[in-house]
Amino acid sequence: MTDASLFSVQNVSIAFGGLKAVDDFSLTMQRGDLQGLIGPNGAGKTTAFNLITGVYDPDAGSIELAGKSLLGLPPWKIARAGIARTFQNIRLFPDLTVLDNVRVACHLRARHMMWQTFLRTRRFYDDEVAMTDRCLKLLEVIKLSHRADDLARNLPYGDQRRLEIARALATQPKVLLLDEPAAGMNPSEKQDLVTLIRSIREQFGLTILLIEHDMGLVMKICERITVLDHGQTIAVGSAAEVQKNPEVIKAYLGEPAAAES
Amino acid sequence: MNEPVAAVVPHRVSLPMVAVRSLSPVLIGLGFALLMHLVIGPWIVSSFDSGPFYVKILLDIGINIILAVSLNMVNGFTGQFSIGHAGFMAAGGYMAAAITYYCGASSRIWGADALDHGLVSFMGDPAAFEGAFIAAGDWLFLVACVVGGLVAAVLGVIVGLPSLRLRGDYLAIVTLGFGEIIRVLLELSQPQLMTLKEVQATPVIERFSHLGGSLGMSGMPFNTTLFWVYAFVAATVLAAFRIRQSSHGRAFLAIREEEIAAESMGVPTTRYKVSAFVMAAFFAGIAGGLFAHQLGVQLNPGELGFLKSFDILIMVVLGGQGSITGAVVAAILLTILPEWLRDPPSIWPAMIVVVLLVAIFRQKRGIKTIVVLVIVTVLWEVLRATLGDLSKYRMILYALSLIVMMIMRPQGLFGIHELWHLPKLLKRRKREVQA
Repeated sequence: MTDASLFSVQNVSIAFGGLKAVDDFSLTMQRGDLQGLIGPNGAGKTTAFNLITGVYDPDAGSIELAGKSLLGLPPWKIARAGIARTFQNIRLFPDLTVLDNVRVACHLRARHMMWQTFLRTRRFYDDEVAMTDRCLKLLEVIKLSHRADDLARNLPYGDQRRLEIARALATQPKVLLLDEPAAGMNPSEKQDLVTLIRSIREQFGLTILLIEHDMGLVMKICERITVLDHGQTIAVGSAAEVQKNPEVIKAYLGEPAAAES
Repeated sequence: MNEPVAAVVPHRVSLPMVAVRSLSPVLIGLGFALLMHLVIGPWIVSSFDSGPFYVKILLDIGINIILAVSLNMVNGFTGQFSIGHAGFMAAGGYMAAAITYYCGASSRIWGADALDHGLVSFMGDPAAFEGAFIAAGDWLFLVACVVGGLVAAVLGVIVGLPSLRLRGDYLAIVTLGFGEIIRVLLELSQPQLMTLKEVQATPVIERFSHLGGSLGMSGMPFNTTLFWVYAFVAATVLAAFRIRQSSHGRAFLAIREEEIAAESMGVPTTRYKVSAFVMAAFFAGIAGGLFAHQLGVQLNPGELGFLKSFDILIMVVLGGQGSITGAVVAAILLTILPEWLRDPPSIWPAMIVVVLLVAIFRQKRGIKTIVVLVIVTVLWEVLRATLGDLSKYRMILYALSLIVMMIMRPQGLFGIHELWHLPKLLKRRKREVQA
């Protein structure tokens, strides 16, 4: 909306059949923001991510990154435009090594063409060396360099989640979307994750949008929180504001009389 | 805007290094092809009674390696399921055959004026050959093979396009249908032109519709020697390794592993799937060209139907989808096996060695394997003793061995690994056993 906003989603909706999965969803982020997206199961959080990253095309609304519309672009073009994501149900490349998982994500910045791969020209080697260096550094950031040659499928769960973050970082994003990065982690891993998210945000000048079920974590690191329920945005504000919002309490705990799972 | 860690650090690899690393495998490949042609081939012919037959098997092996390794680019690297590979082979083969046959290299038509062959296309004792190393007919053959490959590659685009929307079984059916369409189109083509007069009366473009119909095409020059086959084998294997060990290749693998994530990481999946088809089709087309110019081969659409596609597919699956050396080894084994079963030898001396090795290395853990091996050996010897000539049953045995193989190692001989990963894997297994 304003010129200063890096990333804005305006009034985006999508319906699957009769179900309005996301209805009139809006979000604005300034450069360097760390925002949260929360809501009960089935609220439409991941669908919102899928809309932003081009997995689904919205029925209505607009999505802009640095003033350029992303509407109708395929996911790979959106990644090239500067939006990277992780997945709620981990989607690493299981039979590739940890290093190769990250290097795949570097590919979109590669400057050599496919024929140079066959002829092994100088530019090919230049690119490969630069990419490998960069990916090894990224693995250092998530403290996985010692497992660079292991297959991704052999990593423990928490490491896989962090590898997903490193892979997303390798695309050199402006905006990073994290879909439940702390799911399945124990408290100490969660603490490490908080530190990691904060540090990558500083280090890479990132703007981060976070989906998370762990309220403590969201409240701790997000400056601004959007709450979804049944596809509707029911509250927007700081952690303290959102926590007090009666709509939010109702969505999570149900109305006093009705039992909701 | 990003910090140094996220930026691609400019880097220059030294030029001599680039030259050595990019050219040496090419030279090694060419050297290998020459070695096969000038040394190993003549040696086999002169030292065995059925030497020429063995050379023929070597040619078949080479062509099958090209086919298996190229199909592996689609099925193994990219994870798409194509079962129409013989269609590309047929398209390339017919194109190459039409070029050499109608453009001056067939002795049936051009008689004494036909383009001559150099040493590279000479099947015989190289010491007895007089003439150029490579002659006009060889150049035409090379061009024909490459054009055949290019035609197949264009068809690869056409088949690759449906893969935008289809995956798994659905794509398989499309590729199967494609292979059959090629076969039927070839069967419906015009009769082959047999005399110089007929050829000269036909405009050049129109000649390419005279592909012999269901009778097939014959009379092509016999250019396919160990040199050509193994030069193209080297090119195919090198291309496969180079693509896999590269950024573009990792994009292929990413599509196989997790398509949605690949797309989200900036890999244009559609474009890469089509590229995989195009590359695979190109090499299959070349294999077709080599196949068409073999001594005594008559190109026949029926032979290049889906049965051939399945043969290639079996090699890829048996070798391990994604493993290049696996495809090579499987192509060698599956080309030799049916021939070997024509005259089955006794296997018990070899089996004693194998059993001893298993006993030494695996000790108690090898008991199950040893029991299986002993049973197989006894069965084999009983079959040999009672039936004598097993050649009638060889296709059954071939099929049986495939079934056993798939039950015991569903991931293929090599899985996703290469031959030289073997020591590392053995070490890892040992560690696991000790742990």
